[in-house]
Amino acid sequence: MLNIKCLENEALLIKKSQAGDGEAFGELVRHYEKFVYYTAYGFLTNPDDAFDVSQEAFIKAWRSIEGFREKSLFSTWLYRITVNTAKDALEKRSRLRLEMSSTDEEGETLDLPDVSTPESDFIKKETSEELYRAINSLDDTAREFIILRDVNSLTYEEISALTETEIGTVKSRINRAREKLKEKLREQNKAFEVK
Amino acid sequence: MTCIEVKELLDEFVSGELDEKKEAEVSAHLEGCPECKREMEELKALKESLGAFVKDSERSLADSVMSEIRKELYPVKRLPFIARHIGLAASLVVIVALFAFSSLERRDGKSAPELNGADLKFSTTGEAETLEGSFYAPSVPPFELEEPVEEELPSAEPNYDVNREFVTEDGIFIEYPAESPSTEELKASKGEEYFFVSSNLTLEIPVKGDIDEIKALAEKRFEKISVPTDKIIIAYVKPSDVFLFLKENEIEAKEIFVGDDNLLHVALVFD
Repeated sequence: MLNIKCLENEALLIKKSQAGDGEAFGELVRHYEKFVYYTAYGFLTNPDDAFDVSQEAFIKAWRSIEGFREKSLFSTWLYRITVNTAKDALEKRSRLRLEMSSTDEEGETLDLPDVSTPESDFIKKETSEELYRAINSLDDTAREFIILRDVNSLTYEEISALTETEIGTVKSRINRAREKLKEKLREQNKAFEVK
Repeated sequence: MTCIEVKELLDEFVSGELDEKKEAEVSAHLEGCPECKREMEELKALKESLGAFVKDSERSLADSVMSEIRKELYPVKRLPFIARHIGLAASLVVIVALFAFSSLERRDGKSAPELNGADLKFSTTGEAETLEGSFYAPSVPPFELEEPVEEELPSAEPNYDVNREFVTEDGIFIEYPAESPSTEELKASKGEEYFFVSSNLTLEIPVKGDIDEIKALAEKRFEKISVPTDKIIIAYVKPSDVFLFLKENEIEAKEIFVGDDNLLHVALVFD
C-alpha cells in the first residue's frame, strides 16, 4: 500500500522548499518517491524510463514549487506533473520508434522491462507481456485510474481527493478501465478467467 | 444482497476495504452465487497481476533527485582555495574508512535505523575548528595555513574525477580512482597529514577499532556510522561540493554503501 497521505509537517516543508531549502524538499521527495515512480511506471512500463520520468517530475516540481498554491493538495499537484511528464515521454518514445522491443497488432512501440525467466515461468512471462500490452492499449483516463487503483493501491477516497474527482465517477472510471482491460486480454487470448 | 449490489462492492471486497458487516454479507452471497464468485476471482486475479506489475528500480530515485537539486543550489568551489587555508591548530578528523569488498550487497536506497559505531572510539588532539558557513557552500575559507601547500589543486568540476595520489609521512597511500585528463600530486606540509576524501575515493587508513566490526556495520546499511581516526580529512564530495571537515567528535557518515566499483563508500555528515 503506497503512502500518499500528507506528511504531518507538509505545509512547513513546502514553505521551506519555496524559500529554497533543498533538504526540506528532499523530505517531500522521499515521502512521495514510490508513488511517483509507480505512477510513472504505469505509463512507461519499464524501470529505466519510469525512473527518468520520475526524476524529471520531481525536478520540475522543485523548479516550480514557488508557484504551488495550497488550494490543492501537494500530492495532487505532484501527481499531475508526473502524469503530464509521463505522457510527454510516451509521446516522445512513440515518435522516436528507435527500437521495437515488441509491438502489438496496431504497431505500437512498447518498451518492456527485461523479464528473464526460466522455462518453467514461461506462462507467467507471457502473462506479464500480455498485461503490458493490454495496459498500453488503454486510453489516458482509463490508464490513469486503473494505475491509481490497482498499481498504486489507493482507496477510492484517496483517488477522489488526488484527482479532484467525485467518488462515483472514480468508481465508474475504474470499472470501465477494467472492462476494457479484460476485453483486451481476452482478445489477446489470455486467461484471466477462472475455468 | 443482490448480485448487482455485490458486484458494486467486489473491488473493495477484494482489497479488504469493506467493513465487517458488508464483508460478511458479500462473502455469504458469493458462497451461493457461482457467477458472482467467478467475477470476484477474475477481479482478484487481475488486481494481483496489476499489483505485481511494477518492477522496482535498482537506483535510488530520491538520491538522484537530491543530487541534481544540490548541484543547482551549491555550485562548484575551487579546491586550492580551501587547501591553502587550512588551519591546523586543530587536528581532527574524520575518517572515512573505505575498504574493498567484493560481496557486499548494494545499497538499496532505503533509510535504515541510525546506529552509532558502538565500540568505536574517537580520539582528538587539540581544539576543534568549526566550519563556517553552510554545509554545502564554504565560500570563505576560515583558516590560514602556516605553511602553504605546494601544489595547486585541480578545480572541482561537476562530474570531473581527479586522479590524485597522496602520500603522507606515514606512507599512507590514497588512490582516487577516476578517469581524468591529468594527475596531480598533493604533498602535505611538514608534519601535517591530509587526506582527500570523496564519495568515490578509496582510502586505506588506520582506523581505531576493529576492522571487522566496521565491515559488519557497513553491511547493515544504516544511516550513520561513526568511524574513529586521528587524521585530517579534506572532504570532496563529488561532483561539485567541497568541504573542509574538521570536527572534534565522532564523525557521522551520512551513507555507507557499496558503489558500482565494489568499494565501500562512506559519505560524511556535516552539521
